Amino acid sequence: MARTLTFKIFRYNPYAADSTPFLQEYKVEETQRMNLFAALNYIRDELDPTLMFDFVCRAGICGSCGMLINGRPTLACRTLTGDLPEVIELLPLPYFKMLGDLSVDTGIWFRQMEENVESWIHTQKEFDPAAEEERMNNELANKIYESERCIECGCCIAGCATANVNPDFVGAAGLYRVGRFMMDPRDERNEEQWFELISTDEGVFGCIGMMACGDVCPKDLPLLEIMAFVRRKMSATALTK
Amino acid sequence: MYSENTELFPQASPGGGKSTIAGRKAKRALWTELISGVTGLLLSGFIFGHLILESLSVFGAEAYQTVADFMEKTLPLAQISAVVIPLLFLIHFIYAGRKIPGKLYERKRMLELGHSLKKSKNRWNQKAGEYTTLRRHFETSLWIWQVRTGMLVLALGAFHFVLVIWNIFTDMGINATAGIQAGVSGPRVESGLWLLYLFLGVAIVVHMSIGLYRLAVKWLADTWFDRKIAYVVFSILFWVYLILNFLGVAGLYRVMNGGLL
Amino acid sequence: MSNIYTSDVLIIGAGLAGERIAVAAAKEGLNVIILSLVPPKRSHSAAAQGGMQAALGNAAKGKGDNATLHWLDTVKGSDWGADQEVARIFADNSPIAMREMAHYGVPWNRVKGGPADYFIKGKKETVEEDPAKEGLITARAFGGTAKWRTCYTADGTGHSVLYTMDNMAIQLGVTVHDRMEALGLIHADGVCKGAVVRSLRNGSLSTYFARATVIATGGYGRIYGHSTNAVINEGTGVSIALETGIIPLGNMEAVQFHPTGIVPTDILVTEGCRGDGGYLLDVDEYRFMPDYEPEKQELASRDVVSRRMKEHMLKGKGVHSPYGDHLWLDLRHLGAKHLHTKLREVYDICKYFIGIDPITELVPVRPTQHYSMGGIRVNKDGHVYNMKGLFSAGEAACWDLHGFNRLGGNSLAETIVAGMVVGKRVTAFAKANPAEVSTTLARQFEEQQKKRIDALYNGSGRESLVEIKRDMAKILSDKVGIFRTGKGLEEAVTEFGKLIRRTDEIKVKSTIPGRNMELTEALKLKGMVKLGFCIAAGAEARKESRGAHTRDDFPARDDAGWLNRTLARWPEGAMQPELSYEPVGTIDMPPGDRGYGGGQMIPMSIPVEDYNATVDELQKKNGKHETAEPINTGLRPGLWKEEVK
Ligand SMILES: Cc1cc2nc3c(=O)[nH]c(=O)nc-3n(C[C@H](O)[C@H](O)[C@H](O)COP(=O)(O)OP(=O)(O)OC[C@H]3O[C@@H](n4cnc5c(N)ncnc54)[C@H](O)[C@@H]3O)c2cc1C
Ligand code: HEM
Ligand code: HEM
Ligand code: SF4
Ligand code: F3S
Ligand code: FES
Repeated sequence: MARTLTFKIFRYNPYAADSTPFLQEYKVEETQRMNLFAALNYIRDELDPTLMFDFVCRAGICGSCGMLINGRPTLACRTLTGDLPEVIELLPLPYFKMLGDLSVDTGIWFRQMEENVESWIHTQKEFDPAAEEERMNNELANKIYESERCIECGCCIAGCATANVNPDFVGAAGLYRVGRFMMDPRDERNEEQWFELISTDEGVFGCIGMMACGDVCPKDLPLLEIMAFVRRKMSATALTK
Repeated sequence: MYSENTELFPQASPGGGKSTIAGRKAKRALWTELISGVTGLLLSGFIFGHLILESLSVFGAEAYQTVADFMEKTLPLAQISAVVIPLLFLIHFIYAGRKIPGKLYERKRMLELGHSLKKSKNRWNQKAGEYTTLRRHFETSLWIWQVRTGMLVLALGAFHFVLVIWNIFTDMGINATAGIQAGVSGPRVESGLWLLYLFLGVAIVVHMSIGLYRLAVKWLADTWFDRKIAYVVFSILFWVYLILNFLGVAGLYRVMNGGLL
Repeated sequence: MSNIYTSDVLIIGAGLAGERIAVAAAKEGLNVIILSLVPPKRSHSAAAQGGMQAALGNAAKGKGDNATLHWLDTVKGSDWGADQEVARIFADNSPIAMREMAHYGVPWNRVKGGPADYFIKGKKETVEEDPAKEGLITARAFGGTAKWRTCYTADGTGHSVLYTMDNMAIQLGVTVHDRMEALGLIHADGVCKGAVVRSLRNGSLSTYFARATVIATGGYGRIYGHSTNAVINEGTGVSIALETGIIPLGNMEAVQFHPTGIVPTDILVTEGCRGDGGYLLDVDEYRFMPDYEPEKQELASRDVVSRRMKEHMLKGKGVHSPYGDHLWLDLRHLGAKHLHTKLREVYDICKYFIGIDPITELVPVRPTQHYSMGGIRVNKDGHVYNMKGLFSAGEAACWDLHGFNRLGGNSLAETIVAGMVVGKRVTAFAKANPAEVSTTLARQFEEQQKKRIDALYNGSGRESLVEIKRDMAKILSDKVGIFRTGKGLEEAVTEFGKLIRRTDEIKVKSTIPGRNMELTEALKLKGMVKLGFCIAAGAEARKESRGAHTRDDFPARDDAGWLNRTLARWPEGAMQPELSYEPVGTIDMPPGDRGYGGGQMIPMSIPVEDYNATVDELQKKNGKHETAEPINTGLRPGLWKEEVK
């Protein structure tokens, strides 16, 4: 306890013509049970009102606060200063469009990805308000929920070397999303459509298998497992037909 | 001439069915992946056997010669390999090498990211307990090493091919007969090639172990042969083959003097 | 001049309520733009874990459930402060909304036929689920309901439903402008035309024009400083309505507190902790609840427990910490197994966010602001009082099915039911009314915002943004919190009077281009203080205790004097809100005993019929628009009498 933490924070404002990136240092007295949400707010309230960063839920649910914390992409709100040494380096997530300091534009990327993989249930059926809902097995419902737990924080994209050099790659989060709809019987897309959609270099075969996605995902999602499944399924589709 | 199969106008493809441009594109991606993986796998299979057999040279010239003769004369395995392996080598190089980013800044970016991820472990306090222990990550750096060793293998391996294939089919103008012989291999390794083989061997063992680990994770991560098991298996394989390589080179170095044993 | 955007429907807020309306309008072929502070999927609706109430009656413990029972629970829960007609619309439509969500892709948990084990009041019980219902949407128990009727997807209901909704919006091609903050409404002659909006990327201003505008900006709990709400829930959407001077906010004093927000992050840990047998301890590690509530102990209702905790801390029994006083939640005796399975989520929160192992350590908790029942007053169509073409839904609105206390699971359900119902009205309105784009208006309203920004940059004042915010939070938490006293409320009103003047003296220190987060905050602050003022003033004026509004000087619920809804307006140039009152709405079930929470009651002094006769007239006087279906058509009078037995 009672350490003095040194924060080295990436500063850059793309909207200021004269801004050049640099690391700025701040000293913060560590308090009991401090996390980076508290620390960064302290810095902004007391030391430097110009510092930019994003938090929304501050509870590890919304995926807004991904950043490189001592070299690792993860959620700031869920990181306790106690788990870090006295010197803490904060950089924005690489890859995404920079909005200023620690803030990046993950939203636009994810919307684009969702348009690309058509992240919705494709069905011809019309909703009938008078009818009973279609039945579904509870285990399946839970499985679908599990595959929907990605919070779009972008850590898996920022941490993926492939995505970093291939802007069209849908990334682990994109493939995970595809997996979610693939297993949902309400989605009527057939195997050929799936094949065309993701059996590409922008899809599952763009992944070289760096495995960073699975290691950094703050939700511990089985990303590598889903991708292996999709890979085999896609190959089987192509080779048997 | 306009053909319906043209790739020039991908936006004009409505999609739906594998015969479309999107479908063909997807199929091509799949084949690329399969070919690089399968050739990698086959080459690894070859190296398995190759390094085991080479390391038999620790038993001396006689053993070495018996194996060589068996491979060349009893079965024409050496001759077949001499044709098939360079071919696989080439195909693998073309298909797997495709994944290496072409631009320098791209490679640098990958390198830095891999470095950052690998180093981050030491930059966090590691407390006991499932929540605060980070999973360490070095696989991104491993890939970079795979590329580096791949390049080394490309250079040294190609030289090695030319040498041994020439050796298998001709007397090279300096030997008594065509074919691999302890009397030829030994002196040539002793006179300096041992260094090349050491490099080539380490490179190939590194490249192959990482490659197989990655292959397993990419295709089987959700089965019983998951990432943890794959990691253990291929770590063992790595050490075993590294030792085999040392034994092999040492054996070859001394093959004319009765081997190591 | 900067950008002007036009659309048929402009929706401010991309939470569940906003997106559901967007989907309704887009399905009808209308051109929709949604504005949001953050990418839609990051809206705070994603944080709701528990579930949504709908009387589907599929689970064994929900057998025999129907809309009337749901309605009954809702009205009772509201302490008769709700609009019973709206509650009826809500209860009737909720099952349809849930099924529709299932159709769109929400993986609701389903009934599994055969015996199932549940934890009921801390005891394990085996219940036989009906095999005929296998595969239909199931439900779990929530407080204050007669049946199990809370539909859920494991521990991420809000997340699942919001993702599904947003996916629908993407499919329908709804335009989303995220990182955009509405700063003011564009209106003339009581008709809303759109909004002035500031970009949170580069700080530029734009104007948006639409045939119909919707405010769905969620709660504003952050004015309390400590809140379970997201940090973006600062109420700009509500305050821009107040800013017009003519739109009233309803029941602002009705604020819900949750007993167990963890310290310092204020993240909610579920009621299940106490349900399963957790204790509350004070600074001496003494279990104090049995002293106050010998009967129910820790399991008394949310408001009661919160009040007792506060009372105990005021006696100096709180644990001091750098983050203020708190109490302890003791889960240690429940054992590792229980915490790893049934309360896994709680365990995770403790470990990840405060680094505490609840198996061996005490968890710091305190009552924390959780939900705002009040908001922009709308009629049953969601049409905002006094302003044509402006609608509101979700937590931002006071549609008023929650009255003075909302039930768990009713707010998330409200967002999509209101989205469905109000969405229809919005669509009809937009189709019937032409678009008007006026560059003069655009300039005029944009100029207003520019002036504000200039004033903040170049003002002569020296007030600090952070301090005003802190002071406001302190007044609200200490004096307009869970536990309200006449003296405290009077002080709060006086202090707000001073605070509101201080907001004009703010000077923004940093002048960096781009979004400038200090400026962003400063632009909102006055609105936040105004909302706080409305809460304090409303609470001070309401001389009774009802639902979450509890006063020690007026402990009884007074149906003779206060069976009404507070409306707060902020006339132009005024330094304080102006309060008026309207009847709660047509009454079907007359006020009675809630069946829990205890408390005294002062009965109505006039017959229900007389009360009902005046409702429409009085509400219209306050600015209510004609509704698509005339008043009373929603109710099914007297039906509840059969169900009550
Ligand atoms: C921790 C927690 C748990 C909860 N659990 C439950 C539960 O289990 N069951 C239940 O029924 N309810 C629950 N609730 C309540 C429920 O989640 C909310 O009431 C509901 O989600 C509100 O939805 P909304 O659409 O009205 O607003 P939100 O989801 O909050 O969305 C508000 C939107 O408005 C946007 N916005 C705000 N201001 C502006 C502006 N000025 N300009 C442009 N855009 C703006 C924001 O960006 C956001 O997109 C919980 C609440 C909390 C805090
Ligand atoms: C010409 C020299 C070589 C080069 C440049 C090269 C390059 C590469 C590269 C870049 C990859 C990664 C591709 C990917 O992950 O998709 C790869 C994979 C692999 N290589 Fe090589 N390689 C060479 C030779 C060899 C040899 C001789 C072997 C046999 C031992 C081998 C075995 C493998 C294996 C098993 C993989 C994994 C395949 C996969 O992940 O898809 N490579 N190689
Ligand atoms: C065309 C098939 C091949 C044949 C016939 C062949 C033959 C030989 C022979 C005869 C030797 C003994 C040394 C010598 O005579 O110079 C040798 C050693 C060696 N070869 Fe090959 N080789 C083949 C392909 C490869 C490939 C593809 C690699 C890896 C890229 C490889 C790696 C090595 C290594 C590392 C040694 C040193 C011995 C050891 O480490 O055990 N060879 N090879
Ligand atoms: S998959 Fe994991 S790391 Fe990637 S965006 Fe989703 S939650 Fe974040
Ligand atoms: S890190 Fe990237 S390359 Fe594949 S395994 Fe994960 S997506
Ligand atoms: S702020 Fe929502 S995940 Fe960190």
